[in-house]
Amino acid sequence: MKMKSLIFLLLAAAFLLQCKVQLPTDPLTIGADGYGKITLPNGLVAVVNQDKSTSLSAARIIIGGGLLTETAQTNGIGNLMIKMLLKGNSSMTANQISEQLDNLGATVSADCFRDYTAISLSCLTENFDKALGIIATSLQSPTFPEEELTKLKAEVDGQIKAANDNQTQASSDLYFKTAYGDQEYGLRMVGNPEVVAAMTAAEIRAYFEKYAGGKSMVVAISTDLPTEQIDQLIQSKFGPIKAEAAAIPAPKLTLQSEKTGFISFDRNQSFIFMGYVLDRQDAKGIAETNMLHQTMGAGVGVRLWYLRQTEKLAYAVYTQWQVAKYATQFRAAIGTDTSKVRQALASLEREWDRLVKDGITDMELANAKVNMKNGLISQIESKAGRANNMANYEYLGYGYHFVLDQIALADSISLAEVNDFVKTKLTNDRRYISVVGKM
Amino acid sequence: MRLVLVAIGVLLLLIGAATAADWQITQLDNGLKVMIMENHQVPQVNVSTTVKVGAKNETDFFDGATHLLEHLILFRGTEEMTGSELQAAMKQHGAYFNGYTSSDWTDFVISLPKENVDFALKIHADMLFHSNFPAAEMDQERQAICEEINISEDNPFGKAYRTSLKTLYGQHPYAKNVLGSKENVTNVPRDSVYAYYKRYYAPNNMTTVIVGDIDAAATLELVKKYFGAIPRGATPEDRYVSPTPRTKVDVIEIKKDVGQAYLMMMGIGPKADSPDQYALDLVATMLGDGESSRLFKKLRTELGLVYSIGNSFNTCKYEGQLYTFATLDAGKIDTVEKTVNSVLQDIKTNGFTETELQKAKTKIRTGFYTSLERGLDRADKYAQYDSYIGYQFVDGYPQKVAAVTLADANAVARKYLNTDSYVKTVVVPK
Repeated sequence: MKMKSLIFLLLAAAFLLQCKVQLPTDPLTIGADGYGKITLPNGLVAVVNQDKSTSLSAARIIIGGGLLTETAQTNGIGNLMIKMLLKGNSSMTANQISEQLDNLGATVSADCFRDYTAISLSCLTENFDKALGIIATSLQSPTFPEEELTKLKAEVDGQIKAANDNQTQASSDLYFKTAYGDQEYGLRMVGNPEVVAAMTAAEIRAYFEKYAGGKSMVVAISTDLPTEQIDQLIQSKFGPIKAEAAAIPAPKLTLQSEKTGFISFDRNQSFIFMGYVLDRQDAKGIAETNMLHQTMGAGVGVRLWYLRQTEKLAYAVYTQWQVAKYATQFRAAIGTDTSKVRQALASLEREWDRLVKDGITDMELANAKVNMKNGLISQIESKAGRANNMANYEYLGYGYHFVLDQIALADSISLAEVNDFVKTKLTNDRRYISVVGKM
Repeated sequence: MRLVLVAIGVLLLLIGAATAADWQITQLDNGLKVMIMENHQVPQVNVSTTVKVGAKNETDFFDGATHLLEHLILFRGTEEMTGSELQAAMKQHGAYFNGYTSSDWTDFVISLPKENVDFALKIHADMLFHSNFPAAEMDQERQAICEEINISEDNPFGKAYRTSLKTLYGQHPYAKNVLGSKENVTNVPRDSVYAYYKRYYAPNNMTTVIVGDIDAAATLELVKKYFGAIPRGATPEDRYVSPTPRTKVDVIEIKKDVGQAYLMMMGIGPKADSPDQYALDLVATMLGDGESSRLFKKLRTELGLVYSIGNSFNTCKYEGQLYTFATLDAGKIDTVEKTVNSVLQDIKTNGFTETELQKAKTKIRTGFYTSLERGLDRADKYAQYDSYIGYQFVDGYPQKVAAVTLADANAVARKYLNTDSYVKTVVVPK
């Protein structure tokens, strides 16, 4: 009897210990600002925004890796892997998954990016639990069926051809290829067509098993559900995911010496990118990049607008900034008549040189701040926008609150700081150009 | 000033947490319709004004003038300020502003921090009613539009879409390319465009919608201040011609520097005020929205004939378009066309299922509420629809879609899905 009691107590203790291990240290709490964060025992980080203004919900699930885990010989495996997750799991076939997600009115996308692959979901809150459940089941037990891979390869082949036919996309891909060559960030997110054609289901499964684990994942949710329900939903859907995931070493990125890339295209317009490939920036550096973007090419009445308004070179000319884990991009874009490419290149160079030589003015900085803040607010106005931003910045190491932090940071940055950023960061050795069309 | 003030409680029926959102609707003496909604989610204000003029109003002489005019109003200054001064003022106030031209309407939007609502309404009224566009400035804008035409010509689906419209509609005003021809955009005289502007840009020909973190009553006073003194204008008629009934398949092939083929099969649908409208949106969804739709399942999943495929119905004031679009290898175009037609024929014969209908309803309902989530999108949607069918269309849309029966949907499918009279346009590799 005593022995039985002892065994029972030991078993009970083991059970409780196990339960304790499976429970998070602290339950999800949501602050007065509507945001919260929880780390599950498997290492998965979930960031949450609670917003009761609409009965819509959105989620973004990130698996670390993306192009950082690819080489020229495997380029496209991330794109195939993330899409294959929706092509079968232990309880549903591909048809059943698409049928169920459509039944729930869910908008779902699965794509590869520079630092990660991601699935995005948005739907009515009444269907959120079920839709998220389907995706979570796929994350726990994907089946990677061969016949679905064959179909997916054809779809991705079309995706690659469509990207090639789109001058803006083709020029953007060329820009990164010119800057980074065959290194991780120089690869195409849709993949290389030959690599995609040769990829096997076993290789994709091995890739998934290597990189997909709680330790490499971030989930962001924006919803009107009560806190307890969000907590329960996160624990039940993502708690069972295995913890282990291969570490992703920092890439040794070397910028290429040839600064200009060109692809011939027989079209009415040529599409040009010209800008700067920077290292990882801190929060202040990103705010400064955004302010320069607001001054140079965000919307109408900016410096580059002169190329359109007065020089008659384009319908649209603008700048873009993008943050990756190990790099920040800041570049100008212009589509121009094929007969005006040389002039457009000269005008872009002139404007970049002017920026580097003289910096920006007090008034430009004041304008940049108000436009930057308004633009950031717009980015997170919808729940899908919020979930995407929270997941992205949390994964990249800036924190899920990053957009709001940037808004708060803006006013503290001085003109001298921005112009110092210009002088020290926008150097000629980091300026790259891509042209798709005719030169 | 006679003010008709109507406060309407629009129950947006957001499932699980119903949100009552109030529109304050006013018609000024000069005929301007004003809709204001307080939305305190983010500290912004969004203004959208839709003018009831689109490419459908153009004669050949004015080909592309509506769109050119939109650009001139946006970028080329008013009686009070030059284009550059206007843009600088926008930048200083943190404003995003833009414009859009369709066959039915021209739309202007501005979105900025809430404390700048006075500026927004003042400059919005100035642009809409006091634009000046000197000839030299106008000439510069003509070139920008020629570049926009280049972009649209380079886009394979855009090219297929516009080419299909031209053949499908014949003498109907929707045959016109909204962008116009380079020749006409380059040559249409400034004074003629100015006269066109004065004819159509009258307050009684517009709806202004304001959504944001504002006080509705105070905002209405600002609208009255900046818009109230503008005199009423004439009420221009549309140039409507009934579409010629189709009896055959027209085939158009365009060769371009592309890596795959782009297919469009287009037929004519109902007008916006048709009761068929709602059922046809469901039919288009069941046919080609999502991986479990009929066309996707058959042509992509089952037969692997296409890279991508979809179907859509464009709601317009007059007869809209129902079209199937696909990307594929050029060698499969005929097979794909036959297979699409066999899917359509099967639906005409056997109909959709109740499960498909319910699925489509959920999809449309979700998309509808998502499309109203952002303040600017909400302002824009109400202004645009109010210009040709009335804002009530937006309010009533979810309920009207929910009320469609399977018999309704199948009847509409039989009526509008055409396997022997449509326009087929393909863009193929050179």
